[in-house]
Amino acid sequence: MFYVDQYVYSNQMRKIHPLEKFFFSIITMIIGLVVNNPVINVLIIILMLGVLIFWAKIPVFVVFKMVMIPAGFLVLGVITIAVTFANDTNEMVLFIPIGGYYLGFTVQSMFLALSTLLRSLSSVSCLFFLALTTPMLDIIYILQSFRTPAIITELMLLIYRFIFIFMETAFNIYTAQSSRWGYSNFRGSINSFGILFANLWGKSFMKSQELFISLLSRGYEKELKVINQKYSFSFGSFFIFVIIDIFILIAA
Amino acid sequence: MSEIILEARNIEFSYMDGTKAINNLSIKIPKGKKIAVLGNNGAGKTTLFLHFNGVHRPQKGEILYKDELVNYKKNQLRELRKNIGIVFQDPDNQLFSASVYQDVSFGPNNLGWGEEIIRKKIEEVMKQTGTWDLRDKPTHALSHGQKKRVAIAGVLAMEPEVIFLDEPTAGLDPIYSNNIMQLLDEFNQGERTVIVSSHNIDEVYSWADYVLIMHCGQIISEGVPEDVFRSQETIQKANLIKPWVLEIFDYLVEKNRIDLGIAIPKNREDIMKIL
Repeated sequence: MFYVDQYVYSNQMRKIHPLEKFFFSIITMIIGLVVNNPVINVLIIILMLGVLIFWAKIPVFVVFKMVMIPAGFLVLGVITIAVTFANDTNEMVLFIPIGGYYLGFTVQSMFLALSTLLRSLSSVSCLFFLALTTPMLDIIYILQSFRTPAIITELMLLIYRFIFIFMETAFNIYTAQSSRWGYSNFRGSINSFGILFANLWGKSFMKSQELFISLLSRGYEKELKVINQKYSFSFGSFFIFVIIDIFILIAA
Repeated sequence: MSEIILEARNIEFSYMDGTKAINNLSIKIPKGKKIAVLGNNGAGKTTLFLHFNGVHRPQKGEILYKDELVNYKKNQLRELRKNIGIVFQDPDNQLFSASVYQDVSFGPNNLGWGEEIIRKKIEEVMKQTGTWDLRDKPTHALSHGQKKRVAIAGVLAMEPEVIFLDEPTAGLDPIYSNNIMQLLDEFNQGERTVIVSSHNIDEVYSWADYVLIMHCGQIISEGVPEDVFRSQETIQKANLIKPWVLEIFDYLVEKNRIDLGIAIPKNREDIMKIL
């Protein structure tokens, strides 16, 4: 999870205006969902992953690892669509008899399963395009520009920041414990983990108190008012995004 | 004596668990000086400064800012927090945003300045603290020293009149800690008051022009470093030691190796000249 975050920060498309990337991702996703054609979905998957690998310069293995996670779930999910249950073997390509009934695949059910799988994967690849080229802060900026309530975006900001502090604290406690043989056997591991967890709560509470004090002394009054660095809108990338979408539409 | 910017009169403060952090303390902070606060851990240094910018309210006694009694009304608190900046010891407690740029913008934004003025100010202080090149990096990718400098930038951006830094050089490489002390000197040139809490006696001795020693919530000694560090009683009570420069100088004086007319050395270079 954390190394993915590093790739997001160092990808070659990071400087492109977040809204450009957002609309490219969403519009392409909508095209993939509306046009009911597996070939178009395959095209979208190829284009999106291609952009990630060749434009954003994210290593191929990272992209494939990311895609494989939802792909695993999707394959399991669509198997249930592919399997049909009937009292005759009409149209069934493969089947096993159960009592007087038959469990098997038909050509239509397999086609339906395949097209569902491809549609989902094409949507997922559009989302991954956004997730892997746009750091969390830019995504928060997108939400802010759609007038999302401040409470949500502020929480996202703080949670994102504190995930890292939380992990670091947990890791430090873990190191301190294991350097004194805290995890040398099962009993000890359970005990040490309990202490780690309890301490994390205490420490998180202290941290939040101290953060509040430090915010107060910088003039905090109910709202985290900040400004972002200026994003620049570029016609070059906008033009390429439009061409890709038009190309997909023509193909459809 | 020079103009007084902050004053505490007989203040007392206990935390909720009953620990008495400040015990009948009175102090006048002179304007435009470089002040160092020394004392044990838990002597009440940070707590004292949270009183000066209105985060803590004394249970007894009063705080004065520019000879005016602090009344804890909203407008006055805002004024106080703008003018008295605190840089906390652990930058992870201060940097709330994952974006370095956003975090530095927080203080000036609360002051309600215009966007262009804020952007200019951010660029200025980030260049001053050497963090401008880090503006695109997420906070969690910075080293401890870099985070510390970003935290300083975030407070400098508010243009405070008094800046209090809690152990600004603790845990830093010597080069960076020198850089930070130089930066504080620059900041002090503009008639601003810089207050530093530290455990590094040698650093404090050559940098500060006024020293406060705290012990158990009280100020047990104050004055110019040459005097304060020569009081054996104070030094022992606060668990400190004499700065080495002063120690060598006093030894030389004792053994009649040098003339009494020589100015007291402040740093390594001064004492080398004498030798």
